[in-house]
Amino acid sequence: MRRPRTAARAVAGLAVLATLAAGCGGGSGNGDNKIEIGNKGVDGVHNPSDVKGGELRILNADDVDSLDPARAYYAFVWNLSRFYNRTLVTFDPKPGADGQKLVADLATDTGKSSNGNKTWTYTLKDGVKFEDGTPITSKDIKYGVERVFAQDVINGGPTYLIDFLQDPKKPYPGPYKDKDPNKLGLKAVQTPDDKTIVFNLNKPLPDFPYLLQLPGSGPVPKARDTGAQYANHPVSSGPYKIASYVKDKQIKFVRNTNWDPKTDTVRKALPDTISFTAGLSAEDVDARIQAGDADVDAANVGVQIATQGKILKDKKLAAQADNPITGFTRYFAINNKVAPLDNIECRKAVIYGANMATLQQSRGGQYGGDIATQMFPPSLQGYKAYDPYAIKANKSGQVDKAKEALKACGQPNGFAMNIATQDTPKGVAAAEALQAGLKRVGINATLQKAAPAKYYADFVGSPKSVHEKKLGVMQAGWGPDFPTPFGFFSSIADPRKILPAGNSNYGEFDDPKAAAAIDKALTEASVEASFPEWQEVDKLAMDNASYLPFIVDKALMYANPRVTNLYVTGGYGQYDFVNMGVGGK
Amino acid sequence: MFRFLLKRLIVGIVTLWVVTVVVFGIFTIIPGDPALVYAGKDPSAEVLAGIRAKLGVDKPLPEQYATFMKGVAVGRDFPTGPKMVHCDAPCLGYSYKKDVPVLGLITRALPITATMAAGAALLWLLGGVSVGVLSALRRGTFFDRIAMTISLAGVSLPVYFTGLIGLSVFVYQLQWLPAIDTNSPFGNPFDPVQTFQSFILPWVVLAFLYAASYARLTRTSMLETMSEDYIRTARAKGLPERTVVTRHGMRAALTPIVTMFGLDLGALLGGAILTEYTFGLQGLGKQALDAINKFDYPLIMGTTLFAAFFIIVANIVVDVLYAFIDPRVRLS
Amino acid sequence: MTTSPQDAILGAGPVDPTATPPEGVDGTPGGPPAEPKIEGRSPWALAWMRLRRDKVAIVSGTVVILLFLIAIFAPLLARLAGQDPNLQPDDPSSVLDPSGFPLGSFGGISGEHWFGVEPVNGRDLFARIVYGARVSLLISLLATMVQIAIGVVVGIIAGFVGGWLDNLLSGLVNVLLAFPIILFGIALVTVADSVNRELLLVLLIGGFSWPYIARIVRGLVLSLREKEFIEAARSYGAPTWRIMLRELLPNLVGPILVYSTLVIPTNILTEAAFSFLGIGVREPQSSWGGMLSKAARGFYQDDPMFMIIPGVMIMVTVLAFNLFGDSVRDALDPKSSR
Repeated sequence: MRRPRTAARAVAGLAVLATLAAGCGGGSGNGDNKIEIGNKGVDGVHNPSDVKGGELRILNADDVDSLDPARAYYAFVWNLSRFYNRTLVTFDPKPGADGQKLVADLATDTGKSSNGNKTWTYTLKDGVKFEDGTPITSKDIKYGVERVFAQDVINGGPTYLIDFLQDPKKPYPGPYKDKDPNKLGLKAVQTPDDKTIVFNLNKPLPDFPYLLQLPGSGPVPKARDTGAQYANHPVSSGPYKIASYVKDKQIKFVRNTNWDPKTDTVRKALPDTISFTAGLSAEDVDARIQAGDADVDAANVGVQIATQGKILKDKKLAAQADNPITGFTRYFAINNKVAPLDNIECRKAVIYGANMATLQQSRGGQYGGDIATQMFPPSLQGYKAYDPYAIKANKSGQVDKAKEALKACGQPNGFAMNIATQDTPKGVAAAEALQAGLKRVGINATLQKAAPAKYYADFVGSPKSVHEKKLGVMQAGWGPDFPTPFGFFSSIADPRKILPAGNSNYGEFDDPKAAAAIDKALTEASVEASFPEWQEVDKLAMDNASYLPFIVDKALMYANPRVTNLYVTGGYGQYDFVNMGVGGK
Repeated sequence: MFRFLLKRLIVGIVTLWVVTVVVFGIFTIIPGDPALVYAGKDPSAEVLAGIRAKLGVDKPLPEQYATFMKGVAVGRDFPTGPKMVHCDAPCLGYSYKKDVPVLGLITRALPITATMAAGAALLWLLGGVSVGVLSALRRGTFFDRIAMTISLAGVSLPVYFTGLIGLSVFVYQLQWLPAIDTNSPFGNPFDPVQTFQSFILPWVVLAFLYAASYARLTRTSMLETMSEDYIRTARAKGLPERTVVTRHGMRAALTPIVTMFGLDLGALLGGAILTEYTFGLQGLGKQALDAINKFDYPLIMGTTLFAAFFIIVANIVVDVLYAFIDPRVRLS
Repeated sequence: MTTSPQDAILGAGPVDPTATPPEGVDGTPGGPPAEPKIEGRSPWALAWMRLRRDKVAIVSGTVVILLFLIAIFAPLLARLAGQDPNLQPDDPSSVLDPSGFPLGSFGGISGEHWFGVEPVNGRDLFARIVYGARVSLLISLLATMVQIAIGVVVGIIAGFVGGWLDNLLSGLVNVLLAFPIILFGIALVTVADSVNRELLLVLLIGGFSWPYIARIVRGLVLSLREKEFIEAARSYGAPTWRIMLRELLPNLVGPILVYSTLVIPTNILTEAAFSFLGIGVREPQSSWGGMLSKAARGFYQDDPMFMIIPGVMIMVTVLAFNLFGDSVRDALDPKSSR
């Protein structure tokens, strides 16, 4: 899940107005209907080019959450990390769904599996080096993986590797508490020689290579590991290294002369330098990019609403803009345990009562997202359309059906319930839209708000507190940590993943058939072969009425027209940084 | 005099100590597990326990407080994996979100807050006091009425509303000013013109608010002074009105202004949250607000203590100054 | 001295002299009954007479009364306009453009929507503004009551009983005055997530600003303590609580009244400031500060009315209370200013 992306969005939203674009008049017209978004970078590429030189200027409201690849969770930081962090495999640098496929990076291929997807073997390329010229060995990869286990120090990043590599009988505590003199005591990962690395999983996973493309699976030289302080200067294995980093202000990247382009088929490495500037208001970020003073917005969650208005009024701007689906589903989880929603008919009443048109408006209208009919995002590989509640045809909701469901539930006059939401402008707007829609059918909802940083962790993440506070309906956003159905569904639809703290299955969806389907999916030979099972999981979750998805996020994105090789990759649902150039200037 | 100073100092230190206890108490009784804020998703119990140990929140409260106070007094070490990071005294804590000592973050944001406060202070002192004096001298005239009406409007306007109007008019509509560079208001490298352009709106907006209340106070104080007996005596002696006003009237009338100025400046140096938030300037107030949104408790706690420190110091300075100006205080 | 968070500093805030009831040199407004009386009229009748002659008082007083009426009859007014403060149009495109900005000029002002509509969700602004008056006045009035109640009790006890109790209470006052209120308030609101927000705001605003009034009351009590009528009461052995209640309190009513009218606007601004920072009244409950906060997040340039209307409402309300408070003070104590 990319929870922190929501946080980034929230912070961007909170970030103050300050300044605005020069130029462009006020007022708010209806907009010219003929104006269409170019979407050139959604399936294709803006300005393909191999011209080197110049500085790529990236802006963001917020600083990176961490430059340490093992501690970052913001999707844009993962995207950015490809400049300085290479992994065994990585996303194919291509637009759209092709960008969800993996290609070899430090390794010679995308991995050989054996033992029913429980053993994965990789061989490193020759000539790969760190920024100080020392060769990257399989032990550096292993050490990088081990760091993830030291969650008391290296906290904040994804922990899938622990789930699949930990020995429950003898848990590995991470390298800082490792008794092995070389700090390479993790038994599940073996390095028979400097070029070979073998991963022995505790259970099969066809998606395992996707875990190895996570930035936290990159190499870290033990001699230069400074633990929690590593984030100040991670050692580069990619084409750029960190020249300076002033927190909350700026990161400067310069070329890493020890990177050999011959070993790297992924990165073009066109700009001479890259700057990442933070500490700006979200509006200021837009204004600078439109004025040509900067190149691209890092957050990739779309322009601010005022900027959107400008783009929609200007053909030239609209032609340069892209409006892709980002792979993020916005939904309300409906709790199976909180009365009267423990009755499926009452849950259905909530789904039928919702007004999707106003919900869509609350998230920025048609440019902010498409109306969702199912949890499975259409941009994710393995997607199959499913619309059990006929939402596509009834955007304003179905009051009659909702009332029927209420009758069947034994609450013909409606009932009272709570809607939990993050205390962010968009979050509250969506919750209010649901509240207003449900009022039509006699369901009186009260909003229960919590601060963004606390919302998932404390407020809706503990079933006990959810029951106590009677949070019948909880708003959430979910995107896959890596673009496979496993990455999307494993935490939100697995009955066994209902955790006492830090829970993500907010609705406590616990259909045993879903558990069976998930188990079967993981024993399939490949990611592709597991698609039917995951489609079944999606169907079960929808049929159970535990989820009310309302929007698949779209982002209206705009980058400086001078940026070359600009496209939206399906891997991150963002403009792919790794091959951007600025035409040498 | 020395005893008075010592007494004020002791009272100040005790006050600051009580503030640390209360602030520490508030932030540590926060319900919920702080480790969850730092963990990734689906954290296991071991992961959470590890993070709790790192944050030090697994210890009993008095011990946590003692550790914190020890850091303030002599500094302390924080574990960062392979080695410890030392945080020098006075150590106001360590931001686990940013992996740096809190004091460094505070001293980094201080120049922005200080620049804003100093520039605004200069403007409001000049504007507010002179308008107040003139108003008092021309009591009841058209000028007085207009000045007092404007200043009453001034104290009635929220600073974020005037700020937004200022941005809307001067930056957005008229484009007389460029957008404020919130990332580096001092320019990089230092650029006086850009710095001035970044601060002028906050200065004016903040100064307008204070000038309004200073004008009103100055006027009241001046009117009172000018009706005192000794002013009548001075006039009776045949001194020129100018001398009466400047040498006798203003000197006495401005004493309460000096007091107020000291307290206001002290409070402002702790961060002007609304102004910084409105203009997006990364001063102490904005930084603290962001820290709250990210649950960076050590940073909020450090900033609160730092702000309290400024207020208390300003109080002591003002009291001491007052004792110098007005010897009666010392007697009591 | 009083808090005035018009700038809402992290700290105690600028010390607003205008809200300071005359003190020290000014003597005690509404003074002790020992003062000479003209034609046997009570000071109250005199004050009322002066107030009625003051044009500013009449205008500002009318505005204040009007605001109270708006607050009380908010549901009626909204119904009169045919609007509901929380209702979102079923079809957003009827009032909003694709970007979520109101259709039409001036933020969508029309015969149907008198103040236009709110961006993104299309709710009626007029209805939200009148309901906002309710929140604003209710919270600030209740906070004022809390503040006065604590301040008077602490002030009287500290001033009259004196000794170690005075030292202790004065120490408490000093500690509270050293608190960066807004910052602390933010933290407190975050901690007390589940508490009713309106109640929390009342307690927060009231609970943190009483030290100012406690100081003033203590000062007044200290000077009253030496007056003959108190001495007299003491000499015939009246119990302390009785002296406080019967002799002291009536003499404090005047200054307290003046002070109350002058802190209400301050409290209105504080409430708005909290809502502006996103820690005040919760949506969908409307508040003027909250509207400005939303306007500030990217709406104010293209939909200026959405900023101007709530901003002007705050200004008018605070100004009216300030003017009226000034007039009340002048009426009770004609010696002061003007």
